[in-house]
Parts: sequence; C-alpha cells; structure tokens
Amino acid sequence: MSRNALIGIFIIVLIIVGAAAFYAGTLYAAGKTTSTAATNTATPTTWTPPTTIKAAWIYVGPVGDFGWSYMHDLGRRIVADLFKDWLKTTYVESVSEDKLGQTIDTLVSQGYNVIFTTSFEFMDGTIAAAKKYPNVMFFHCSGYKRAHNVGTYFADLYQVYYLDGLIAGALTKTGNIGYVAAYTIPEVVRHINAFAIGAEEVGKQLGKNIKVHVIEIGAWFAPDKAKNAAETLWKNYDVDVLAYTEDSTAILQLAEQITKDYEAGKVDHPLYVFSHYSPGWVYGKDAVVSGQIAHWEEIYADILSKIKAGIYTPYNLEHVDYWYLLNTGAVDFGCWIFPNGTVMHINPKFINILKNTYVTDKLTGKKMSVYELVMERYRMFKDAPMLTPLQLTDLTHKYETVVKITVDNKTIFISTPFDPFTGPLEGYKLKNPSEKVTIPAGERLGHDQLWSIDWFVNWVVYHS
Amino acid sequence: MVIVRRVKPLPYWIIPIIALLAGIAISVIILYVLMGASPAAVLSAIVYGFTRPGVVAKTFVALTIVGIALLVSFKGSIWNIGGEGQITFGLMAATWVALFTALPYINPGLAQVSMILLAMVAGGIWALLAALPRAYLGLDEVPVTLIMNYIAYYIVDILVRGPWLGKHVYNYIRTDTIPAQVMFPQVPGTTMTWDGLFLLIILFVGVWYLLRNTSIGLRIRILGNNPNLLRSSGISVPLMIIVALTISGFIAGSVGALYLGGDVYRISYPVEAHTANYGYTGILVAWLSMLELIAVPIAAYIVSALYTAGIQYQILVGGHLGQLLTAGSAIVDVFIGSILLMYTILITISEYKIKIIVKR
Repeated sequence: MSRNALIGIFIIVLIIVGAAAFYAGTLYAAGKTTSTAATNTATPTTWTPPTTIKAAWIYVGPVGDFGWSYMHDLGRRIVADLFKDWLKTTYVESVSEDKLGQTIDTLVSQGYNVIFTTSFEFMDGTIAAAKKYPNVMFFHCSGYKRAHNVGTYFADLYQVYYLDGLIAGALTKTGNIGYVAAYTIPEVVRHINAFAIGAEEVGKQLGKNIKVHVIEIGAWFAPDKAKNAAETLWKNYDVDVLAYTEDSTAILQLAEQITKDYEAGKVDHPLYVFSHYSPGWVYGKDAVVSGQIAHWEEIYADILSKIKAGIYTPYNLEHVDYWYLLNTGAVDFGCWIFPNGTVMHINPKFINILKNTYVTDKLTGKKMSVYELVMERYRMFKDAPMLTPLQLTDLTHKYETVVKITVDNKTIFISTPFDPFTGPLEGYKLKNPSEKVTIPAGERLGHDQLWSIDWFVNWVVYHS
Repeated sequence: MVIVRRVKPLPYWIIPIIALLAGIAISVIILYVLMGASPAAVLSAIVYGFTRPGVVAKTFVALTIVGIALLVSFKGSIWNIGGEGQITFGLMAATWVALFTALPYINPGLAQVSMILLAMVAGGIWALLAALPRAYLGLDEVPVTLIMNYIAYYIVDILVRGPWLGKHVYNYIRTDTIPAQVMFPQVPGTTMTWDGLFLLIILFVGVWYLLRNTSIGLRIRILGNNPNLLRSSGISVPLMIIVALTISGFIAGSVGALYLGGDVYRISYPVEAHTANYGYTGILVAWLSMLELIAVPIAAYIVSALYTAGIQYQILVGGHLGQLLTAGSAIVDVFIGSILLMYTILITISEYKIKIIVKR
C-alpha cells in the first residue's frame, strides 16, 4: 500500500512538473510574439508595413476539390506570382474547426503576419486567434464578426445566378427547373431566389409555369449525394434545367450523360446545367449552358496591396468588409475561360436558341432576344463603377441600394439601374412556410437583408 | 510454414517504439516515392511537431482522456468503438447546461464544472445503452457501439435543426454561441484550457487508483484475462461488462464538454461533419499505449505531435508556386496509417514465430 501511494505521488508530481514544463516551454517558444503583443495592445502611433509580407491561407477542404478551396488557392497562386518581390505565401488545407487554433499558432510562430481563413466555420476561431495575436492581420471569408485586426470579405454570385435563371427560363420545356443545394444557409437561399427570379422573368413571358424544385443534400462536397439529388429532380419532377451549389463535377457529368441520351432519342427530356464556381464546360460540352466563376485574386490583390502600402494595419480593420459583385470582377458569368483569357459566357451550342427566343425587356419595354437581354443585364451589372467603393466597408453597404443621384440635372448612377431583388416580390419563410413575406413594389433589398435572407419566392418548391 | 506461439513474448514496450520509428521511416519513403515529398521537409516537420508542446497541448489533452477512457474498457476486453458517440452525447449535455440553464449567469465556475460532469453522465448513459445488450444478449459491442455513434450524431442533428436552433445565427443551422463566462479559460501560451488540464490530472489519477487499488479495477482486469475465473468466484460477468463500458463512456463524455468549452463554443449542423474524431483517434492512442496507463499520455503526445507535423509540413511546402497537389493534408493519414500497420505486424511477430520447415 505505501509503495502504491509513493508511486501515486510520483505520478502526480510527474504530471504537475510536465504541465509546468509545457507552460515554460511554450512561453519560451512564443516568447517573441507574446512580448511584442503585450506592448502593442493599444493603438500604436506609427505602423510600418513589414518589408516582406508572409501570408497564409487556411482552407476547410482539399485544394483538389475543383470548387471552393481550389478557386481560393488559384487566387493565392496568382497574387503570389504577381507580388513575388515582397510576398511569401503558403497554405494549409483540410483544416477542421478544432484544428484552426493550432494551425494559426504554427503559422504565427513562423512569422506569418497575414492570415486568410476561408470558411464560415472559422469565424469564432479567427476572432479568438486575433485576440491572442493582436499584431497579426486576419481576413475571414464569408463571416460577419470583425475586430481591429480582423476584416471580412466575400464575393457573391447572386447576380450571376439571376443571369443563369434568365437562360433557364428560356431553355426549359417542362417549366420545371431544379436546384441542388448544399445547405439552405442565407448564401444559398439568396442564389436560389435569384435563379428563380430570373427564370420566372423570362419563363412567364413565354407562357411557362415556372417551378424551381430544390433538394438540400447537407454537404459542401458530396459527389454521390449531389448526383442522386440531380437524378431525382430530373426523373421525379420532370426537371430539364438545373443549377447547384456543390463542390464537385459529378452533376455536370450526369447532366452530360442524360443530355446525350436525350439527343440519341433514349430519354424524353434532357438535363441542361449551369456549372458552379470553377469553369466546368469541359465536363459537359453538350449539357453545360453557362455558369458561375469566382476570381478571389481580385480581393486578395486589393487586400495585400493595401497592406503593403500601409493602408490596412492590424489596428484599423474593424470596418473592412468586402461584398464584391459582378462590377468588381471578383465573380464572372460563364462556364469556360479560354487560354487567351476570354470568357465563354454561354455555350455556343445554346446561343442560337436564345437568339431566336423573343421577350420584352420589362425595364424598357423593348422587344429583344433572350440572348440580348442576358448580355444587356450582364453589361449593366458589370458597369457600376460607383458601387465598388461602397462595397468595401460595413458602414457603406447601406448606400449600395441608392440607384442614382441627380447633380446639375444630370443623372449619376450609383448602383446598377436594375437589381433582381427588387419588389414586388412575394415569398414564404423557410422555417414556417405559412408565414408570408411581401416586398413592396420598387423596394430594393440591400446587403443586410440579402445577407440574412430566410425566405423563398413563391415558385420555389422545397423537397427535403 | 507454420506459425508458433512464442514461449516468451518480446518485451512489450519495445513494440510501440519500433512501430513508431519504422512507421515514420516508411511514411518518409512512401511520401518521397509517390508524392515526391522531400524527406528533409518531412523530417523537419516531424521535429517541429514533437518540439512544440504548447501547440500540441489541446489535442494531447483530449486524446489522453479518450485514451484513458478506452483503456478502461479495453482492459476488460470490451472493445468500445463508441467513444465518438459518447463524446457527442457529452457535447450535447454540456451545450444544454451552457445554453438552456441559468447556471452560467448565476455561477460561471459551477456552470463549467456542471458542463463537464453532466457531459460525463451523458457519455456514461450512452455507453450503458450499448453495454446492456452486450451483457445480457451477448450482442457484440463493436458494431453496437459503432452504430450508436451515428445515432448520437443524428439525435444531436435533430436538436440543432429543431428546438436548439440559434436565434442569433443569421439563419445558419447551428446553436447560439455559449456565454463568454463558460468558455473555458486557456492556459497562457498553449492551446489547452485549464479545465482540460485539471480534468486530465483528476481522471489520470482516478483511473490509476481505480485499476490498481479497487476491487472494481481488479475485476475489470480479470474480466479481460479470464472471465471464467470471475464467474467461478461468484461475480456477475454481465455486471462487470456494464461497469467497464459505462466508466469508459463516462470518461469519454467529458471530452464533449472540453470540445464545446474550449474549441467550438456551439454545435453546428451537421455535427458529424464538425467532429474532431477524437473517439476514433483515441483507439489508436489506446493501442499504442499497449494498455498501460502510464503510456497513454506518451502515445497521445506522439499522435498529437504528428497532427502538428502535418500542419507544419503543409506550411513548409504549401508556398511553392505552380505546385498544386502536394502531399497536403493526407500526410497525417500516411503517418498514422503506417504506424498502425507496423504496430499490428509487430504485435503479431512479438507473440508468434514463423517457422519454415523444409520437407525432405
């Protein structure tokens, strides 16, 4: 018994000594950063940007997903090459939420002073790490929490989905359009609505009864689930045009197969599709109509050059909130980028059909082909230079809904003359479908309403 | 060729050490041959991982506790694969205390203790549910505990989608964040929390005492070696199975509270996509420890250091221009897979001898 007690005491002492050693060891290891952090918690009077900026990207998935993380990493590689004189970059992929803290610790211990965390899940972890390292600059993608050294950024696709919707409304024969959603979070709900609004705008004029059928698969990257959901929509709901949010190319390949079968006369309706996030035309040259493309390098180049110039410091990021749309070039409308840099907005296979389908532009009352309408709207969204400065901070988002200002009897456009999320719109709440939502005629939804949107327009049907 | 049981097994402590070294050596070769990863970078990443206790600390604490938990049931030859489900149930219980009781606002210290204790009770109950069919129906506990992991995930998913859905979450499917006063305070300079450190010490000493100085501990050990002896001395074997598995789940459940209070501060849907998989990694830790309590922290440290090494390796190589697919995050899996494989091979060699008899 006494021997056992002695061993017990020995083990307890061992653990306590071990814990003390841990503590001492890490204080020593983190010594440099901790001590400078302590002196710099208050706003310093002078800030000198580091001569070499060491920037690190933290991804939630593998960069080989050819979707979300891949496009972020493409952005990283572009700015790394562009700014190679003063920028050193690295990345860590497939980081789960619980490993975020130690990933950031590891990066900071090696002198990385700008850290991009590119998943919504990293929001609270980024804020916690930013408190620990007040001299390091953090930029969190897709979140809404900021601090003096944490800025946020996002490039949104809702305008692009609206353009895709216009085309979908023209191409569908059954009137049933599909959408495979990863999760019905505000970002995806916004995209579904924009897509549905576009489809209805054209479809209604062509005498179609447009319904947008949505299946939620509960994963960002799940090729099998996405494929099954798309097949269900095509088979059970007569869907012949489809858009989606999922990070693989599975749906494109399925759509290509079905469309080929349709053209060979084996099945009675095709499945046309809009590629998501990265250019997907090669995966389905017969079925991919158009799609959405992201260019994160637009935002990364802006952030990093402002850090280099001393405009962004670890003490003034609390209002930095990028909300970039088509006008900035951070997103684009299309399904392929040719080696010479031009974008294939619409697969040439479908251009003729769209050029021969006529509708009336509800803005001007002019009769034009769907192709012209889509390109007109695209130019309108692209051509809004005054919008960009408003999209950079959380304080100025509210001015984005200002359409125009008249000075000296001249009209100066601030925002785009048209936005898909303009009343009259009627919808229902996701959580409680009996609760109706009405947007009065002429009212344009702004950043804050779109950011937390929780309702579907009436012709969206949610299936799971 | 025949396989013969060794009369004298090799000393047990030698196996994990050889497995570790051989596993790392094989990983380095695999990564070099298949991925073109520079052995120097891989080795320097490993050295980094092993020399940063502050960074490793959080994973170390969690894995040690899970390792201890599984050790209790493994000692009794009860193979608890359900650590993950027990942790998830613990996470659920701790979340309930933090979000749906007034305790955090009345006494934050008491609330933190209650989060941990209730998490343990929830983990214990979940393990008990798997123990009952094992004890009385003879249902194999391996598939039962494994399947119950998924049931636990889905129960929590239902809660998060339904009654527990947060009010300040911008329509994301998740609970609200727990109040700041019940977020476990961090030990400065490390990634671990004070709560985790104290819990680790208490559980370690507690289990050490349980296994060494109590009749329950003795019975669990006999259960593992010779259940017939228990039966013949009039002790209920089913009862001992229940005790072993429930204690195991009880301890594992606490990790759910640590995960909530020190890591994620809320539950996000779907919970199975937001788990740290400690319940599964803990199995590796328990095995590498050769079911010796004193070796559990060592095994946990090795595994957590390898995780840090994986992060460090990516940082070292991730910046090369034009190189898209590096070994990346898969490197940790290569390490751990190789080590486990070597371990399995060595454990066989240590107990059995292969003799080649040539027929004349």
